[in-house]
Amino acid sequence: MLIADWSEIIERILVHFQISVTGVALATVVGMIIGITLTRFPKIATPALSVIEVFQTIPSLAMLSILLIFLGLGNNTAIMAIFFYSLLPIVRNTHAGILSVDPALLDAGKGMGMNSFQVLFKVEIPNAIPVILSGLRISLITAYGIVTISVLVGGGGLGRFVIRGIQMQNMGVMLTGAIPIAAMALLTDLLLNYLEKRMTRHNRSSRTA
Amino acid sequence: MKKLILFALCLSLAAALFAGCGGGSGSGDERHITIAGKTSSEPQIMVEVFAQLIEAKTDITVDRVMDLASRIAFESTVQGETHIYPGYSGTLLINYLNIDIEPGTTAEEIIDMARAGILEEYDLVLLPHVGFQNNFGIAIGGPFAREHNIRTLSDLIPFSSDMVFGGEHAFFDRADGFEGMVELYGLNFRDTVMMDVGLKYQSFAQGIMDAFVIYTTDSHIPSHDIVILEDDLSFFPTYYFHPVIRADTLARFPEIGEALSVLDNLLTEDDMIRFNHMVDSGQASVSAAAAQMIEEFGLLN
Repeated sequence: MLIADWSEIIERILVHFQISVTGVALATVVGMIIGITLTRFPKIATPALSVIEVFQTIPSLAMLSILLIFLGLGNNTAIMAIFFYSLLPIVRNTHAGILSVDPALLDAGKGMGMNSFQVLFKVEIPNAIPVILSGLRISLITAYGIVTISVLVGGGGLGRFVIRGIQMQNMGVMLTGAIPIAAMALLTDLLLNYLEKRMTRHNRSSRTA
Repeated sequence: MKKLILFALCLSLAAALFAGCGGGSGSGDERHITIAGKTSSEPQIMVEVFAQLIEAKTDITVDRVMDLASRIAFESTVQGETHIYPGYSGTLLINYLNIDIEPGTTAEEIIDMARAGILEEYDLVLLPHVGFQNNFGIAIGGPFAREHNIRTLSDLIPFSSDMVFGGEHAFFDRADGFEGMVELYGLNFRDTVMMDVGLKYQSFAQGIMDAFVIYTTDSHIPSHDIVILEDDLSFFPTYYFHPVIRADTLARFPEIGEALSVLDNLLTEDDMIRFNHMVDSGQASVSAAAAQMIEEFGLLN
């Protein structure tokens, strides 16, 4: 399999992961802020969510081509695309997660003398974390797939092997790209699922305490 | 526990952001260019040959950006993010200059029109072609062709109504593609199938189609018993392969033109099929195949 030596394969795995994580991380920060804000202004929540939903409907190559105009060739264009695609799961899950907090807990918090910021950071966000993690998990795994075409705009990642493998009609080359992507998706799913369950149990136990 | 998770998330965010910000080629680099590569083996091999020749013969450093989508490769060269682009004369004319090519236009006329057009419209210089033509061809099964003595596209007319024709999506969209072909020849296929360009030979071998469009330097040609029909009415334009370079880059680095001149009219179709095959079969990487081409033809002597 002369498509690449091990050092290139590993480098591309790392870049693939890096692009995905950076985009999702940015979306997490911005998305949580938007999600929390929407819980404070319920009237704009539905239209705002609809607007963000539109991003999901844009085909990935079209999204990349548009961002290319502003960001040029390279990984940044791919990172921005992942950012836009990851916003909806994060915003929606943050919003739903916070709205699902048991009102009794909010009362308890206020009763203890917490101001609204303290309620947010000590009661609402911690309760929403498992749901937010779920959104993060979905975004990240989706990102691994989308980043496959980042090479088409001069980015890095495992897409090179997948796309070249199709061009060359060489299954071995294609799998050099596809297998690490699948492995990353599986590991991410296992790890984040585990974290979600631990956070849920933690919340539950601290509630009964 | 919660604080730890939060901290870890922030840390990975920071790490990812800083790591991801390592992009941006040195704009301060004085003698440096970037070459755009497309996704298929042929332009990648040739672009790698360009790069290795320039690196060996000049003091200019070269970056390659491979695997770019075709239009993106062209646009980035027009905009200056890349400086050299792998150009096919016919494609430049049809896709980027929007000039329809009448059947019967000679190869020289196509090249002249392309050269003049891309200079005027995009400030790009068409350097001399490297020898081979990579045109559209229509292929049918060898046994079928021999049995009915079909050698040209016109010969195919009486048989076409029983045949399924296949090709990549783009072939059905372009002016020099399917529609024009069937109209000029009076072909009437029973059905058509569209697929990704990388799946054609495989689909043909599986019997999904009876005739399909190929490129005359496809690496897979020698591995299949197919007959490529002669375009007797000269419908398809000729596509020569040229290095295309930004006018300002060439003005700044005239030595690039000299470095690449060893490629003028150098390769035959069979040469290109051979090198394409080397890469597509996995025998050689793109850069190894390019190095071999340079050595085989003594391009550094």
